[in-house]
Amino acid sequence: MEFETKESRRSILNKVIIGFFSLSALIIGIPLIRFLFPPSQIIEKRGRKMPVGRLKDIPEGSSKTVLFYGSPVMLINYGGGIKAVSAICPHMGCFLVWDERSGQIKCPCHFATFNVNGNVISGPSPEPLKTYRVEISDNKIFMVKE
Amino acid sequence: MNILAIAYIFFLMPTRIDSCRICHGGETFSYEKSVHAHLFSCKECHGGDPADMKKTAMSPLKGFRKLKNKREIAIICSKCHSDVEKMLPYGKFIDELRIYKTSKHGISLFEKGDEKVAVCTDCHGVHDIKRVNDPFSSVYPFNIPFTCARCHADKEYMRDYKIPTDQFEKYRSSIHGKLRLENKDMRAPACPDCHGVHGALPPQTKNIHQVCGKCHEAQKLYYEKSIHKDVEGFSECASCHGYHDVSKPRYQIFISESGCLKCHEKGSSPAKLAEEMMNMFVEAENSINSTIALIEKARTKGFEVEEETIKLKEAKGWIIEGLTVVHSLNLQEVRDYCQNAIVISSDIMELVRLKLIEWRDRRVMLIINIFIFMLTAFLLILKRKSIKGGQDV
Amino acid sequence: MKEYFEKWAKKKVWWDWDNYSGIFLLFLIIIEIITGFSLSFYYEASPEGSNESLRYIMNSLPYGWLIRSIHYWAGHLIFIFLSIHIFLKILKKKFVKEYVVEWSTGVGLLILSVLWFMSGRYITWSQNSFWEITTLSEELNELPILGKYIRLFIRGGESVGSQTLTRSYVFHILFLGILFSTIAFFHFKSIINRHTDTSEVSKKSFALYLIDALIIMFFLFSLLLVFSVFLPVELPPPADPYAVPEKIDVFWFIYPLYKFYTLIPKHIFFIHRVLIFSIACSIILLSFSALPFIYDEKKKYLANFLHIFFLFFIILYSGLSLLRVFL
Repeated sequence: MEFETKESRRSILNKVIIGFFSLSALIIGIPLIRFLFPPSQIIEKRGRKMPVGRLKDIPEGSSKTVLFYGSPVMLINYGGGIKAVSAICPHMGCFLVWDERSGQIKCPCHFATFNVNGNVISGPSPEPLKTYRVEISDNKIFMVKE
Repeated sequence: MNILAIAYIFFLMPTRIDSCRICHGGETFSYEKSVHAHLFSCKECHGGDPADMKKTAMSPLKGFRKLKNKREIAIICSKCHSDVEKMLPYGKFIDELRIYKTSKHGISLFEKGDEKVAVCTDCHGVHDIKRVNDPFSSVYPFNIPFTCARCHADKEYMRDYKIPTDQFEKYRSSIHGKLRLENKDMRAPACPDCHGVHGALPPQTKNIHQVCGKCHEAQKLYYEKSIHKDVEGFSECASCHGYHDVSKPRYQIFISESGCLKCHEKGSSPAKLAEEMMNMFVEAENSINSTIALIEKARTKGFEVEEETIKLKEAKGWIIEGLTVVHSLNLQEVRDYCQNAIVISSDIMELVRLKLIEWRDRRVMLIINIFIFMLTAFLLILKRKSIKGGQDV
Repeated sequence: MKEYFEKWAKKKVWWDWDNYSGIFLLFLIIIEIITGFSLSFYYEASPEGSNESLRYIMNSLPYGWLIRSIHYWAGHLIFIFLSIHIFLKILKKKFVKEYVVEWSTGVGLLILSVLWFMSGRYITWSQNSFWEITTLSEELNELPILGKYIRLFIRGGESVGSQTLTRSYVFHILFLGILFSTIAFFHFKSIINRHTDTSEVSKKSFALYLIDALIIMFFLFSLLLVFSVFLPVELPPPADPYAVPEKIDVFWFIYPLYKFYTLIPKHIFFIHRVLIFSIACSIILLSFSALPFIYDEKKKYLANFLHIFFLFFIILYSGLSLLRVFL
């Protein structure tokens, strides 16, 4: 009797250990497997050349602000091509606005004015806007990381 | 001294030999460094006969002018500086004297005969006149405030004029002074930028916003829409921001005696409006500050908060723009701007909260996992004990 | 398979408690290999892609942060346990003649671990590690005759750039791994071959050992999980070849060496300090690895002196490097 109880105790202990082992294996295995088999909905990895929009989304003379590697960039369809300049005013960091009528980039906070190449025309900005390289292929606009 | 002058004449001097240099070595020395040095000699301004080696060179019969009289100085300078043909090659303006005559200095000199006021030589130098863009020139942009202060900060000198003499000290401690004199930032104004160069006049109270608006265009535009524009006896920008002691405006302006309460009684409806506007800004600022704290919390937990930081810039931009629009005194507009800032900060806080929830989930997961691991380890210890205790595996 | 296992289980293995530190290290290396292997699926070894792929791993992939943090912390823990391991081995005099294979392979493994860690740091292409490699290769350049080649070998060219990164990546995942495995194989083989006793089936001691190892494994997992959740590894600022930082954070395990190196004046009698330092280090390492041959129980004074000297040295060294971590 005693021996049997000991046996059963031991076998219970063994079974419990195996149970917890498998649980631990699951705890370790699931993250690893999920890591190696990523689901399809997550954001695509950003590469050097990043698509930021389609050409038809930006009609001639208008602009669109996009995020490029964490910086807001203003894409302007002007003079036949797409120009990309930083959309943040170097003065106090306000977001810039494209004025279609005058063909200038303006800051609504203190009226700093820039031309389409990012150069300062008037206003309190201490420096010109940063420009980015743009490539257009197959009606898609790509921005290139320098 | 004379030996030196003679040595100077014979060894270092150019071909011209003027008798002036024999006695007036000091003046000649500084003149040689000036912008006029190789253009003309002492005679052009002082007259006389430099070829004459005797004292008769300075005879009034030979046209000699001492030029102690300031009116004379102005006229002599304008002999060239108001001559189109002479100034054309240099691209210089030719109406300095005409403009000077409209200035406070000019009016006092030409109409009242006051010799204490500044004339050309007081600011530009006497014999050692340098180009404006020469860093050693007394009218170089970073030196101009000191030049004006030579008279305007001298209490004794300005005793008869009944105008304060603390402008330079105030300017120096102001935001404009700090930027111009310490940071060497040319965007900040100095005395001539507001008062005029040769036509120096204190701007009339009706024109202060035009003067400030030369740079602060945006604020001027909104100010012109406001109710303050047509108020009598109101010194426009200077009433709230000060004249020479302009400093970075703080929210205290709305409720302090040096701001709105200078004219409006506490408890009156304009004062209440001011307080309400201040409260709106303070609320928006507080919401942004709490967002910043939350973002920092998430960042230190190892989360990426790039997108949130960019959106925060947008929120801050609304407040910055609101601080410009506030000059129109339009409560609804200011409310819109502040509300936009608050709405964006709340959106950001929502995004960050999701991340912090994930952080909480991570910790929960950690505790559960550790519990399971520890339990397994404990069971293994039990097993170990049982094996060691003599039992078979 | 079963026969081999039976044969292996028949060997009575004597496990001293200082071998447990080795078990810790073994498990940590295995964890490093598994997590490193998973990470290598997504990591891109180019200057532009490096930071981006790390960002992707940390933020977009499920449990990416966990895998990377475990990889990072296991790497640091290896060196903490390594200090304990070496200390215990010296304490228990495991450098006598009969342990010569373990000891010499152990020294080799130590050097390889340091190289493995440093190459791993370099692949993050952070400002810190970029300039670390630059200054290191510049200093090594000053060695006579070989310096130029060493520099070319480390850099993969004249300047530090994408070829250095690729080289570092290959070192980290392939070359050092193979070297390490080969030397570790001999290290373990000699341990296991020791005290072979075919007299009895010592399933019991084997089982005890296995359970101990499993307990250690679970303890390690818990420790790593705690570190990963509460102190997740950050994304370092990307390397900027045009911005020289004021200070470089050297890996804490070699910090005492680095500090000592900076204290030596640049030139002593026209000899560059790197030569003096390399010679000094080589002498110490050689004497360290040749300890089994030098140490002779019969020469009591020399034996005691060497024992106490190296014990003191390892305590001092570990203490200094750990101080760096906390200060």
